[in-house]
Amino acid sequence: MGEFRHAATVIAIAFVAMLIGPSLLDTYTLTVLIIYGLLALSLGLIWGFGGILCFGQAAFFGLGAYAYAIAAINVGESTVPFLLGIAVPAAFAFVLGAMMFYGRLSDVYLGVITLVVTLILFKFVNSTAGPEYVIGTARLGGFNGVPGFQTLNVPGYPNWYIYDRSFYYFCAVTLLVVYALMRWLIASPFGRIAVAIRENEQRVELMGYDVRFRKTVLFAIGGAIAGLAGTLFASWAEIVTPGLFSLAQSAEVIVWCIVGGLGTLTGPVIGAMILAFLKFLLGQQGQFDSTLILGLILVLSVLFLPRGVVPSIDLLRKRAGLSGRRTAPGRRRRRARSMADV
Amino acid sequence: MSSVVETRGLTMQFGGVTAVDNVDFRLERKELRCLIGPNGAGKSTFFKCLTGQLKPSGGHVFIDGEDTTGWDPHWIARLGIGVKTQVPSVMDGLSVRENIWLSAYRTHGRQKARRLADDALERLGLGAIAKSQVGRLSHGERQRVELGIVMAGEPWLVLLDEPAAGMTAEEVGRMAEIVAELNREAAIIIVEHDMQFIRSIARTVTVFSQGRILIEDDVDTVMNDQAVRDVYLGKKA
Amino acid sequence: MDLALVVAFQVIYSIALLVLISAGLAVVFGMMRVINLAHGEFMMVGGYATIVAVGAGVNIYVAMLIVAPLTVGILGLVIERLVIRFLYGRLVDTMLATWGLSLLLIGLATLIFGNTTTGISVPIEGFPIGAYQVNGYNLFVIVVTAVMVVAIYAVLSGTRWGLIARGTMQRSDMASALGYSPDRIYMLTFFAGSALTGLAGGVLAPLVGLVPTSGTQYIAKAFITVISGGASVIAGLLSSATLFGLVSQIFTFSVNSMVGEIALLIAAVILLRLLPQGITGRFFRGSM
Repeated sequence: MGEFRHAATVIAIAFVAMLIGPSLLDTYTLTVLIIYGLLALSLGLIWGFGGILCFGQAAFFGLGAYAYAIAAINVGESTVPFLLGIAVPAAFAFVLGAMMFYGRLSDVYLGVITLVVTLILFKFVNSTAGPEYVIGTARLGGFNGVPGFQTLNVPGYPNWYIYDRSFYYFCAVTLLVVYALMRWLIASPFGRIAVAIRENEQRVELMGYDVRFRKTVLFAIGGAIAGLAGTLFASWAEIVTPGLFSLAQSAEVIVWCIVGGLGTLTGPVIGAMILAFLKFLLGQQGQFDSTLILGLILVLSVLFLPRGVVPSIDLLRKRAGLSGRRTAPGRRRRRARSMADV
Repeated sequence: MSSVVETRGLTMQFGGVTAVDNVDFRLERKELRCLIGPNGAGKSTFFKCLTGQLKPSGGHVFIDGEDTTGWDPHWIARLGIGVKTQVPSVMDGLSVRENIWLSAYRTHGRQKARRLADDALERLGLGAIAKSQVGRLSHGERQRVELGIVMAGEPWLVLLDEPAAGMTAEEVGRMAEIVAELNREAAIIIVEHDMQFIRSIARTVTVFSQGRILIEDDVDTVMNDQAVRDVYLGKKA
Repeated sequence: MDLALVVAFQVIYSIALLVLISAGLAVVFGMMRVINLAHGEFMMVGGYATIVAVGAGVNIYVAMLIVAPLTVGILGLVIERLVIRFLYGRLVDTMLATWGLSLLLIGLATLIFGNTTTGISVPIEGFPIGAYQVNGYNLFVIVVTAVMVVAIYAVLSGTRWGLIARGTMQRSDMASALGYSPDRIYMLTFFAGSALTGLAGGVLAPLVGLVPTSGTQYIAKAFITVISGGASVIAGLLSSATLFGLVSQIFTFSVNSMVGEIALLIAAVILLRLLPQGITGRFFRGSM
């Protein structure tokens, strides 16, 4: 029951934060921080709990955003596009995952393939500026992106837009719901088996579990959540551009997870929110290039804080003799895995 | 058909090296068999061909009459086979209980899995450390956790690769008891170096040398056989 | 006939280009099992070093072939001492740290040079093959690449250092037992790899309009060329560069360069699916 109480505490704190957030910062900025949190959660799930390091989480993010935008132009009402924005990247992740896991590719090659696939998508979408690239009535628009689609509305009422503050609450509640679902998933047998696979793939296989299928499913769940984040992002930005697929975007997600901490769900979310906010502040002052700071943070956190912020705080609490149950074997595992690969 | 494991002409080559060379092998129901032989004799390779971790380059493996040659490990395991690998293969980040429970959960529902896990924990004397993370345990304890994983799956065929390696004399004695207990329900194949251990449990022993079966007989005959001694002392090529 | 010659020339050029941009990464990965994701930014630094040196009045060939490799080599040395050496044997961590470095270098370059395009002009005139005009500088790139490959081979197989380095990579414990310090060998190897990358950046500087983010367009190609090649430095590099160069040029000629690029990437995905250990994991085993 400790697990349940922990999750309930986190959700209660997050709920309060959601209510007082708008009095500290404008909801427009808060909303995008939440969306990034959701994106980080998707990688935190498959990397931290499934041991799958995906260098192309942005691919699913971008795919979700594009799927939503294109469907919204064609349909005009946001319910079906919203679902497609989740389903398309999930299906894509499932197929890609099946190809990789059934091929028994090791970590590094997994990284290469996800990275390359992201590049292919980026290059492809970037080159679709011509009028011949059309899906239904929507033009892909190449590097100009796709603007002018229906943003999120109350299901069935195309004129009742969910925007501004209500959109903020919608995103925040979505994040909380997804978080709760993932907590439940990880505690369920499926989640336990996923963690077991991360720990020792061969053992799980010798127990009779189909490791490849389970990894593929987990990867697809991660794709679905990233797609959901992309869908919300499209509705927030009101335009989708090829930049969503960029490697910089993928890199950022990884940085969020590392800094926030692997092996937890709260870590990546908090990491994303803090770093994205930091980037936002840096972007405002214009003195230093935000890339520089981001790079520095990544290097320093790999060297000095390999467990990430949240697990390190947990560890400190434990050392101080306070209660704290969660442990994250992220560091040791990463080391062991990287020795074994290639 | 009473034999539970049978290989016909099983061959495994790595590049130019033939690690397992045309091996015919049979194991009867509820039999306990030890595979011995010097380093590089092909025991472990043979073992991995049985579990599906290696795909043999020639010949066939039959398990319970089913031709399992080239099957994936998880399909072979699903036939009801428990495998313990050479290096303790456990999930370090999970608790002892979770390790064992996961094994039982695959074949049985939640409720039965819990009972089977409790049962295995008790039989192996792991009850006191059930909630500890496996990564923090000693080598001997981890060996026992892996046996628990094997036990909880209620296998009718158990394959153990060097279960006594790196254990204290006391732990080896306990291991022999556990193996004997498993043997009441299941046929067992053990790859082992520890002669003391083999003498204490085995009836029939198969000796591997250079990828082939050198001799297969009861334990005392084998131990006194001149050819076997030569192989171990390296006199014969 | 002339057309065939021009096409052949173009194919060889695209293969040479892949070899050139991947060589530094291949040395570092093949010998040290380190994947340097800041590789593209190392090239970018090499490019800027060349341009700055030319601006300061240095002969362009000296700038490309000496200044750029030295600058990047020293940069690599500093980075190896400060970051990489703490991460040996942790492949994924090195990838992440070097990714951070790449962002850091982009940021620094933006700070120093601004977000504008700089460049120098190509120092070699074109020449005709029959009715077609051929880019003379491309020939220079091919020659430099060929010399570089021969030099890498000569160093690895013919020199004492090459032998010690190869020994260290296989059994660092044995090498240290024989009295060689693996730490120093790794350091020197990383320096050599970085210098090769600087060379590539310098040689390519006249061909591209340089911006701080220029490196990103190379890293993916270099990365997949090296990984697809597998563990052997030279055989892997040459075989995968040939394959990818052919594939991309075939599609470039028959459709357009965009499709060529995408075809290259798809070829890489398929290749890794079929040969998860790279080309030399399957063929040319044990070669250098």
